Amino acid sequence: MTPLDRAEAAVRLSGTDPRLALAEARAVLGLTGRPGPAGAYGEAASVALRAAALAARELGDLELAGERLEEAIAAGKGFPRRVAQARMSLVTIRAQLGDPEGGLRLADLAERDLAGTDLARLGVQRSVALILLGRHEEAARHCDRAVGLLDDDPRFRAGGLLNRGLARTYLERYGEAEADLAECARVARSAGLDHVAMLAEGNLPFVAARRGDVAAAFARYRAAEATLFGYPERLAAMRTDFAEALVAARLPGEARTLLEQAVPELVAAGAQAAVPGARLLLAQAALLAGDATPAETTARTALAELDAQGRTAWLPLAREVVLRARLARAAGAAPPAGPGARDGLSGLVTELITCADDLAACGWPAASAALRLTAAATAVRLGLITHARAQLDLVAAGATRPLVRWHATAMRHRLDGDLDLALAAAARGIEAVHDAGTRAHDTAGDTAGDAAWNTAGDAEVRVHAARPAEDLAEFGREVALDRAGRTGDAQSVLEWAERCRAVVRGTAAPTFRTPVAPPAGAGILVELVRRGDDLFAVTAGPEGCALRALGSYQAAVEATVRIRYGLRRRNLRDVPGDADAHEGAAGAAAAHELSALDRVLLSGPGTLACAGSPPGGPVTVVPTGALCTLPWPLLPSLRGRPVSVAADATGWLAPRPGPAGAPEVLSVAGPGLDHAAAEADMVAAVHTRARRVGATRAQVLRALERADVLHVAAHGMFTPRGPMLSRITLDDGPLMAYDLLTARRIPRLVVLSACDAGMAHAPVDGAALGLAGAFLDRAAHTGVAGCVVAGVVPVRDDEALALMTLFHTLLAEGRSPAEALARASEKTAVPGFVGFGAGDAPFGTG
Amino acid sequence: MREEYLLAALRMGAGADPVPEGVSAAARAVFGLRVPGGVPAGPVDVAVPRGARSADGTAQAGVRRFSADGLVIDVETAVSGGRMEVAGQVSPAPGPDARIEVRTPHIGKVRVPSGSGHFAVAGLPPGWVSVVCHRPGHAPVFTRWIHVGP
Repeated sequence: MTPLDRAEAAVRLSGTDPRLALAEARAVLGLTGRPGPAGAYGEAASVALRAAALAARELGDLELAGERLEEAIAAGKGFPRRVAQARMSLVTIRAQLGDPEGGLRLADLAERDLAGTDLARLGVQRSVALILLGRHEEAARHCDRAVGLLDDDPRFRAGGLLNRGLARTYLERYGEAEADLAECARVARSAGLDHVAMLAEGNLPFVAARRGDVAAAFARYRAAEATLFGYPERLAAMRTDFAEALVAARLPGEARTLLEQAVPELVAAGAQAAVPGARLLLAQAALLAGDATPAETTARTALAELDAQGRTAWLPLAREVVLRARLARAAGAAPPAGPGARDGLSGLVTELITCADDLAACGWPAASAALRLTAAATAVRLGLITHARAQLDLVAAGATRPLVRWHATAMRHRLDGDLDLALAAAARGIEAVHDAGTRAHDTAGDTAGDAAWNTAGDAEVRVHAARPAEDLAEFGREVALDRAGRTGDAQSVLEWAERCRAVVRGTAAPTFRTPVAPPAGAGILVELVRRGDDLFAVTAGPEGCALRALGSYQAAVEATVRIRYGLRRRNLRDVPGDADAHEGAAGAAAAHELSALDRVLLSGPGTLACAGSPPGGPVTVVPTGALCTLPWPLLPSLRGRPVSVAADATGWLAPRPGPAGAPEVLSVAGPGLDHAAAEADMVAAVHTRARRVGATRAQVLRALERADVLHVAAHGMFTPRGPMLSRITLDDGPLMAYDLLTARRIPRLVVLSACDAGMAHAPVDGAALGLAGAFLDRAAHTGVAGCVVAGVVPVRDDEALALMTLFHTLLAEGRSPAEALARASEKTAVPGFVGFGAGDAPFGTG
Repeated sequence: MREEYLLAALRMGAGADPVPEGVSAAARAVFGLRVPGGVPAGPVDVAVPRGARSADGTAQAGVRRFSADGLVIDVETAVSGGRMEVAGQVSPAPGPDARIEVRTPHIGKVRVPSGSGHFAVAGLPPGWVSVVCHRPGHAPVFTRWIHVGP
């Protein structure tokens, strides 16, 4: 074999085994001598240097890859085709090092000396730079040619498919993007290019999450994470993509956790092109999580980096985050005092409008329309009606999505003072999303054979239209509140509050009859609604709907925080001073706090007493914001009543199933607890069809698919920053909240007898977060109206056993979970457990 | 300390170099963070509680205890949705005329403690935080600054 043959073999090898390719390239260079032009061996040296560069690139060292290619260009002097090939490889590297324009110039240089399939390969390299520049249509076109011509070069064919898949994802053509990535993975795998296949699969979480299929995204992310372990820069890039999906899926906390790992890794790998994108995403995640100050700082850094790289098409995207962060800070601050602050805000309106213009000019029409609506809403708040109308007219005339056009129309009607027309237009906008979602659902099956994509249709609604639809639904809720102030129409507030939650969850909102007619046994619904700091409750029952203003949301949240603090200290037996002497006083103080909050939330006119509920009947509470962490059953008005805390009113409106036969009950005892085994044994003894199962992850996941009732007594941990990272300790590792997203079936009742397992922090109402939320969300996906009983504070090992013994005894007698919990809590005085979801349907006694 | 840093510090101390603008601004800002006439409460160890179903004492994460002047101030912090919650208790309960001030470098919120000395503030930016107990007739008692990551 000649050195040139060996060098060419090393180039081919660089994709499948970069370490071996590197060794081979070194061996060839040892023969030819380097650096510099090497006469007869110059051609072989150039190719070997290119092989070394490609291998370095696979191993994540972009800087080194760039240097080797420069050397390959120098060594190849006199061999124009070799020089052009090295330039061709350098296109991508230069782009990824942060100079995509420079990459394109190199491509133009290389093009002169390339012919045939090499031109197709050049197209694949060009597409990387074009994607980075936001020129996605062109990128896809270049790949089209390559994919058609490179049948006998699986590596480049796979590359072309990969890049086209990415470009199409940005172009929001998800079905085609998935098909490209799946084909890329197939081509790469059969050619032994396993990590290219993993890259393609590593991008599937990104596409899945852009569509909103978070369950598939998590599963694919974990698979990809394991395989990309030896490729830090690829892993970081994949983490960034996945984080993008998480941001879109309303999981900004989880996204931040990933991005804070990925950004330094990308910086270390010299992946300059990827850094600003990852940083911008980090800024968006921070902004979504309500953390405007770091969001603005990070977005400014990204803006400067993008500017330095000449990526002008991306600049308005970064500027948008900066402006939205400033707007969020202005909204979070005290109302503008004096003309100075007002001028500052009206200046911000002008900047928002300019940025919307730039977004449109740079090919981001959806972002542009959304920002125009924000600008208009800000202008309305400042009384700049002419500004607002001009922007609304632009959106109503120009936006591509019906939803956005209807939003503009609805805002115009509100400006005209016609709230009925405004609400009708908003409703049309939400319907438009749903129609689009149904269509996407119908076609999704054609493009993807993978069962995991079956939910893609409704998921697409979630992400694509989710943000604008959430904005529109919130607008509708605000108008409905205004209108109720004039007309007393509480039901439309309830309907719009439910629409907001449904849009977030990606489901259809329930339909209400007028007057509201709950099914037998449903009892009372109390749904909390928030507008800024103003808290409202809509109460619904057999006798109709009522709306009541409850005062400050912040004050209710602080009362909740105090109540939970007191309970935590009590349950951890950490009360200051002489514990016995203080316990009575602490109990009285807690009772006082609970009564005070009860007066605010539930005992006033228009709430429980007036909605036609029999005393002691069931109550479904749909809380807002941080009030989902309140131990609701402890409020005096709810004591002893069956209480279900739900993310929306769907369960309350659904007919209650009749009692079936005796449920199959499985119980699990996690490690490291004195009373967990006794508790699991007790559960197995109380029910007729019951047994204990082992506490490994696999056994628990299997139990999920079998049991009607699953009881887990274990250590629990809530992660406030990323509720999907909350966990339960099992024998062989933690069961994570996100593990549940892929479960095929969820029991009707899951009892998490663990600390904080019921805790959740939803960035927006309706999002299912935390362990309990993940169970319920998954149950709903599988068509089960599920219920989770879990603690919202630390749980005492010994007390949990006492409470759960009584709870399961009552359950086995045929009581509903909510009723059993109410009675058991009252009798044992063990505080802190809450029934989430559909808790008021009884189980059979067999 | 490395020699060159020491020399730089000495030069600055001797007035050979001007103090960088940021340093004096930061010094003035720090001055504003003091509680004039206040009593600093020092940290007290908090035992890891037993008997709870939370692994490795994680239930106790974010819990700190301070003591001075016969007063114990418990402070528990958590960050959710990018905002910081500060809850705690002053014991013995300081009475209805007392005020609890929860301070960050830029925002201070004042609350009336409950009958049992509980207090809570939500919606603060994460970062540095300190709690001050103001009681009529007593010098204010303040905790050291605690850093709470976002």
